[in-house]
Amino acid sequence: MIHKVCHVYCHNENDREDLFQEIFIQLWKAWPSFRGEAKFSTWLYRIALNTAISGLRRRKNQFLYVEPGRMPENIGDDAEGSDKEEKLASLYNAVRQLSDLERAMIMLYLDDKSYEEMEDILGVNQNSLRVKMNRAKEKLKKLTKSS
Amino acid sequence: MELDQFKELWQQDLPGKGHDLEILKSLLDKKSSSPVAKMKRNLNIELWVILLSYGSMILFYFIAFDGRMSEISWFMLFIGGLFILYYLRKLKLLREMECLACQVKSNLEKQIQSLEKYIRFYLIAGTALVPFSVLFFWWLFRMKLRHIPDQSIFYTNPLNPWWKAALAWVLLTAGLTFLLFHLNRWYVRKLYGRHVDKLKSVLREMEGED
Repeated sequence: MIHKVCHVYCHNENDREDLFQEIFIQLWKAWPSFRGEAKFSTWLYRIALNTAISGLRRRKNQFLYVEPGRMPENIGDDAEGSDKEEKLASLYNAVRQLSDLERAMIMLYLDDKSYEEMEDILGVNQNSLRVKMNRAKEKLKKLTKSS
Repeated sequence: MELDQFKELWQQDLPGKGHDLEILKSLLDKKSSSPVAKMKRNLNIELWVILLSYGSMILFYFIAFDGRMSEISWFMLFIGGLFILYYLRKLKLLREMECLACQVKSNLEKQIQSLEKYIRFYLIAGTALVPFSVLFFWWLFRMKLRHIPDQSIFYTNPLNPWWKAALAWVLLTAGLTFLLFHLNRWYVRKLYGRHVDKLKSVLREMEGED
């Protein structure tokens, strides 16, 4: 899950490594205060998303488009799954072009989180989330089609 | 491809993304690069710089000139005391600045609120230092250096009535305060401006009416 957050919020390998390290440090620091009031996955997502969205300042919001035929090295390169990987790479490319909030919502959606859980993680009410989610899905659909 | 069809693909682990325990352990030895952690480190560096530089100057003015300039040491001790309050206030704001285990929206609100307080405090404290210092040097010049600059515009003399001298001090204070205020404002904007704007834009999107 942490790797997915890093892929969604960072455009290059160095930034991904930095963000991974930062999330890992924050999880380690926050672990003693985890009392099980929220689900573990909710707690994990909160820390990872908070770190990614409000944590690092160095990352720039430039778009880095990766040709579907040229896989990012970290998504794997075995020939067997190359079609899957190509699709996955174009999905990550498309998601990275969304806003920070939309990226978080789409990630949670793709991870099969309910709207209730999304509200618990993001703090945005479910009605508002539904409207925003529809817009984000539309945007993503256009982006994946165009790639 | 429909988004739902991506779900299965998404939920598979990214290939080659295992981390062995040693690498994870080594990550914990590194310093956090979060803005709050960096600000805490900078604040501690600032504390040490002030303690060392003020400490040595305070000692110097107590000992040198047979203690005739000890007023400077007392003034610096006073400013140093104020700096400790300034340090504690900033540390408190930094500690309140983030709650990573909170909901993303409330963490953003908290961070923006504390960061704006932090910036305001920095600006006020940095600017207030000028009138304080000018007031002190005005007093010091009057008490200790009365005999030197008879021709100075900052002193009352037959050619320079008291109101002219007072006006010179007021203009000097206003000019320096104005300059330092804008310099500080430019500096905090350069340091935190983009970060605050980014946080506000995410929060606006979260609060957006639908």
